[in-house]
Amino acid sequence: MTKYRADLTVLSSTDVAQDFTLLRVSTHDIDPVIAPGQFAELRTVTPTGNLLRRPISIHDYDPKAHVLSFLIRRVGDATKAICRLRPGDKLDTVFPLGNGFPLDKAGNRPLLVGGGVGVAPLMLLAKQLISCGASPVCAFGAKTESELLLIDEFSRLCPVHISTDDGSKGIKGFVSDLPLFSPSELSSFSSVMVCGPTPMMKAVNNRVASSSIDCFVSLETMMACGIGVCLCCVTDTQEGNLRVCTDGPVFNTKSLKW
Amino acid sequence: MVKLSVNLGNNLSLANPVLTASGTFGYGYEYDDFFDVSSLGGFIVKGTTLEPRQGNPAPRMAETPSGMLNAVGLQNKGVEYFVSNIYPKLLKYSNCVIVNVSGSSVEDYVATASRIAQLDHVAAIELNISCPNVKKGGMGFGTNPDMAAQVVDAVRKVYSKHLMVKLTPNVTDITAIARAVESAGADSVSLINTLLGMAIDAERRRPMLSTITGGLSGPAVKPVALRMVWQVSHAVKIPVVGLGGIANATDAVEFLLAGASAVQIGTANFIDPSTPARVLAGIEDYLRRHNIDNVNDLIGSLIV
Repeated sequence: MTKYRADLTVLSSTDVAQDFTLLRVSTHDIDPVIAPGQFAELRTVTPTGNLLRRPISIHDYDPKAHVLSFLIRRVGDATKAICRLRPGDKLDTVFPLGNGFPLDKAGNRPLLVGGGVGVAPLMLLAKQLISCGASPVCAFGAKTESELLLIDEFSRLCPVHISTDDGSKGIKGFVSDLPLFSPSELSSFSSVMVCGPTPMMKAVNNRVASSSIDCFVSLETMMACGIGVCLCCVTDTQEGNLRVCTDGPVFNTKSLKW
Repeated sequence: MVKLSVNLGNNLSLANPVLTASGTFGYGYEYDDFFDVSSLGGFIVKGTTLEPRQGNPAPRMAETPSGMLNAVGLQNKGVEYFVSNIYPKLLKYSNCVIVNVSGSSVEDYVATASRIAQLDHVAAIELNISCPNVKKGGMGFGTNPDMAAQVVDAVRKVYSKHLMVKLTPNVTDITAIARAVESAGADSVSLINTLLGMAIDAERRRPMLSTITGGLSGPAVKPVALRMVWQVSHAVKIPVVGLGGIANATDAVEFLLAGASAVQIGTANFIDPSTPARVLAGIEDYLRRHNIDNVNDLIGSLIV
């Protein structure tokens, strides 16, 4: 898949919750081939002069309209500056990067598990799975109701099961506590695809590990280049240190030293 | 027509003075989507060692003001893997392919260089005696003039093509090291490798890097690098290749003015993968604007 570096034009920047922004940009005349789970390296000028790009999951892509979307958690100066961009502003983007979720291993009934902003790549994933004839089911967890993101949008695509740490929405507890993960219910799924905080992904993997179902996780690490040259983002695997950016970010949990 | 070619001696002639720094440019092909890699004077591939190395544990990187720290620790699959699996992919490049060689002992360096010497399409070796992120060897060789000379002398005996030696800035007097490697037979020196640094996460009361300390690079180090290039270019007769924080053509021109015969683009490759192409175009533009028709007339032409 060809990679691009381009100044993409911001179409809209919408706060979808406190600390979370949905940013839509135009890819203009570029026709990228994008797999769900891939990411982009974003950069804009920040007040503190941040040097490095920020790796952000591709949330959605509409190839006909040439619209690329990012769901971004405003954490530090760089992500805040990116989310302050207004329609017409340019976003310096290197994309699409990394390997996405393996659609060919998803099966007929994949379970998509998202924690917090980890739901971001699952939108394009759900859409593409559905267009391939699969019937995905979503399980989303967050600290509290206000951090559950785009539930209505996902609910229009497929069933969504919810947990919150404080019980403000859905079941009280972690996403891995949902009844979906009981051995009897889990066996009805063809695969599990997860994106979220590492402890949450480990908890999900622990529930799945005793079954024969493959569990794919999208790892998040600090990165510099995003294209496999700096070797800063490695994770320890059965094959030694592998790069999250180009060997991942999606890994089968069996290959990780978890 | 502006003349951009530079000669670094011992048959290493570059079509232009723009190279890329080892460890920031992979094996070149990672950048094929972004610009024509063969348009550069050459590129220096990732540090290669005799045996495969896993490198250091994560976290290996921290962003710092105008720079970054890394603690990769020379992760690579070893010289045999390079020869069998990577070298064939480099044959398509028409410019100078330079292999960065590192080691933990003189014997390591010699064995790796001997293997690289068999590769026709490798124009030169950059001998890395300056990596701050490995426990044994690396920077240890580059901080002591006698040890630096010893490793260069040993590699010189088995490697007849161009031998560039990469120097560390983590020394009191870099000119002493430069003179020592010149006497031992180096054809050129490249400087600077990263500056030893440290970053702390105050909230967690922990170091940001698994190795506690790491190598600082990026625009933050440019003034230090310029100073050292200036000093070394006045201390040795062999060509100096300048690097350290170059992010645009003006930065590159500053290094040429200070005495560098060529430059390497490093950390900027992570930020804009097309930086080397932009720098090359910008150098050409600078020469035209200043009515200089040969880049060699710019080298060391600082007015003081």
